[in-house]
Amino acid sequence: MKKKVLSKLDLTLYEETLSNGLTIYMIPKEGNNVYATFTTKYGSKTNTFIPIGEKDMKHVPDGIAHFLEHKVFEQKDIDPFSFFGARGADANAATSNDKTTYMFSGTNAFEENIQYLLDFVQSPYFTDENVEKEKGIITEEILMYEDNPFSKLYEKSLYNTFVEDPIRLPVAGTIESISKITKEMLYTCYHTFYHPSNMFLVITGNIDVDKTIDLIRNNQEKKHFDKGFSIQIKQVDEPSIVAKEMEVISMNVTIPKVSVNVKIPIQEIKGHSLFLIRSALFHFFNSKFGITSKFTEQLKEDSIISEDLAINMVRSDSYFVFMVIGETNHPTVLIQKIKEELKKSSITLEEFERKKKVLMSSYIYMSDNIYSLNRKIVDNLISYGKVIEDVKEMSEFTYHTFEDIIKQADFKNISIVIIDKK
Amino acid sequence: MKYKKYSMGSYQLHTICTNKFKTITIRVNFKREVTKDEITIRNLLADILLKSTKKYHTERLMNIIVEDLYGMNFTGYTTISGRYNIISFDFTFLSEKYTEKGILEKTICFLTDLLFEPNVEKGKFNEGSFRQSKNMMKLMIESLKEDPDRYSLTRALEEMDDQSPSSFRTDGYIEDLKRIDEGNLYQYYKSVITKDILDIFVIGDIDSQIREMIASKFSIHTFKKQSKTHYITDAKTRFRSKKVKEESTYNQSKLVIGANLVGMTPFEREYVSYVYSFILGGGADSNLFKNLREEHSLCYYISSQIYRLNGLLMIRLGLDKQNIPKAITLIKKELKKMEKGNFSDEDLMKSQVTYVSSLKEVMDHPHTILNLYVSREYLHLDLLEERILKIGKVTRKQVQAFAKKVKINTIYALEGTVANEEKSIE
Repeated sequence: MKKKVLSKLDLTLYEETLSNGLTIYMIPKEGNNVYATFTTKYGSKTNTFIPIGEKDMKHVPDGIAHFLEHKVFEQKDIDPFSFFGARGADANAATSNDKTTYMFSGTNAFEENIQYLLDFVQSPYFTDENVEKEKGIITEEILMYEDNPFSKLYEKSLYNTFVEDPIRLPVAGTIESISKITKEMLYTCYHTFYHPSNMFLVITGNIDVDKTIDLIRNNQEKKHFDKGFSIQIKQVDEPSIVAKEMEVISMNVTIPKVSVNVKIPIQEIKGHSLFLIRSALFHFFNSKFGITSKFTEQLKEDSIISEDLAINMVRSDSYFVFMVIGETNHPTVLIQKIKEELKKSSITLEEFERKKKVLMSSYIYMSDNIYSLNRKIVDNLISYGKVIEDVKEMSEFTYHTFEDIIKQADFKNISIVIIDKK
Repeated sequence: MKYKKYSMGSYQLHTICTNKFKTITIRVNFKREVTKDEITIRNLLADILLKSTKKYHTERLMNIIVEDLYGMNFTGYTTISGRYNIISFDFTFLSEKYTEKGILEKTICFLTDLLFEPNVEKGKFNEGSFRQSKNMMKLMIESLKEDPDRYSLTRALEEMDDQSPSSFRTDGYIEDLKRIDEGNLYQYYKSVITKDILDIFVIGDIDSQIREMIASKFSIHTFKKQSKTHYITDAKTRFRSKKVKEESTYNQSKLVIGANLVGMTPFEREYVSYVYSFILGGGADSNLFKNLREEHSLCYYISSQIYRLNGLLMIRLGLDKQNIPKAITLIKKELKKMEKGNFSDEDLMKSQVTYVSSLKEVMDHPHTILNLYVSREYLHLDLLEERILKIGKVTRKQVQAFAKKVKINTIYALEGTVANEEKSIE
């Protein structure tokens, strides 16, 4: 088992890969609770691939990864929620564009819970009837998002920023696309992407590391899995232009909402790690449009905005998209000002150091909470394929590095979405 | 972990010493009996004090100082706790071990500046800060209509009893906001710091030094007052339930069923009601979820929730307009089943295990431990060990008896535009 002390956080990370390819990451932490997440590197953006045992690329309906997440909870005998409920644990699952995660948290019966998490996820039970039933439930879920202006803003922003990449499609799909999903398609996706070698477990909290590993190893050795294989996913050639530069949508809102989406090509920024590029861009957008910027202060003074602007980041294989989101009765003014600000010079050394101090502190805050800690590991594994030691990596992050990254970054491809009053 | 309560003359200081966490949290609570027309001004006050002080006269400067204090988190907010309205200020920051010597004192200086040295000139709050806070309040109040879930709940509570504090809108009211200016807000501020009941709670790696530090910096003289009960026990009930329909332009419809919990005993309020609601609609393993979602595919979410302080039970779901009558029938059936005791011993056991499990989790987070002591102070609730003991004593008969005290008051439907019979599967 690999062991790594996380400097300045008073924590140790343990890592072990089993013979079937499943990797387990553990961070023991004093307290009562344990949080365990079981993730497959498969989300809504993977919609064309060569299914296991086949030769040709196959396209599946949008929203199938999320549909599958719902159906994995379907078991022949016992209901997983009932199992975890009887042990006082909370269970849930979530799908995003690049992953599907199953999780539980609870302060007792950890040994039973962790085995059952593996068991239910690794024993799919789909029938024509239970697949049909799910369509009504997911339809209501989609309609719920449809009524939420911020969900709509986010969904449209991705759709209009990307041209080819399926990351542009809504995670839950559409009422029409999910109507085409069958039991067979679910099994195809399941067997292709839920192989242990495409998944990982992250456990944070009150655990005994050696005992836990033994438990998981025994559990996995009892099950049969085909040999690991390399999954072939259709590669997309995403252009740097945006699909649509501007769209206005009418909804039931009291104040219009704006998202200015900046699409930044990663490969044009040379000589730096992905982690540093992401950190630099975050720093840049936070300083320019965040709570300590003169820009925001001026907008508030002029009553263009009342609430702070929000900054959102999405990453595809070859682009970062930064969304600057605001609520305003003057959308055109706000958009114009954001565009102008993007062209202006970078931030000062003093500001850079202050933001870096905040970022370094945020890792310490995070390390006190087993949920944040777990999410960070999952996010690292999906984004970088490894766990990042932020405190260490951050020490390399100098003002000079920052400036060099920002100088190379291209902010000219912008897509704008406005949610306007009906 | 060590809890101590000090009477500091005009306020009380509660300290919880523990070295389990890397942070220290200080919460300052001002409370007084809730009135509908003071909600908005209290919200505005909680916000404007965060915007600037005499020393740091803009919001931007405030945020810069906070970043310099290693990204401290500070918030101001209000809650309606039964008959009381509480303004809280929370400050969470990294302890000295992870930052630098003197961080505690620096933070306390910042928070006392924030509370007692507001940006006021000639008896008025600073015009710029005031305008910004007021704009934000307006946005917040109006945004209720953008959220069909929150909107439908608010409307249902108003239909149940519009005189009860349960129905007061926590975001406040536009008409009240219009009446507030820089001058009368400052007058109100003065009344809060002299007349509200003040409690300060601190949790983290602290020692007795904190007491002197707070005593020397908190130069405050409120009138000493005794707190009355937070519980609302005189809610308006109905012999026949009221049905309200409201049209909307949302896609999805929302159904809210509000019930009174008539004649609850304190034991029922704290323990039996929890078990009841857990079995009925507490989560993905509850009767409502299993029946309406899993069995009938009517909705994505459905839940029941007990409002202990207000003596209410609220059931909420989002669904297709066509399915509203069917959902009402199914929910009523589930309520009847609870009265008849149609639930398994396993259900009862699950609710108790879950209660104990989540209580243990409370001890893992500074904020939840803090809340435990806040609720002990204000609501005289039991502490951990007593709670664990008492939840185990809840019996099936008690749950059944409690179920008979659940009286539907109002069935409120916010009708959306999507109506498609094909989407529901029998």
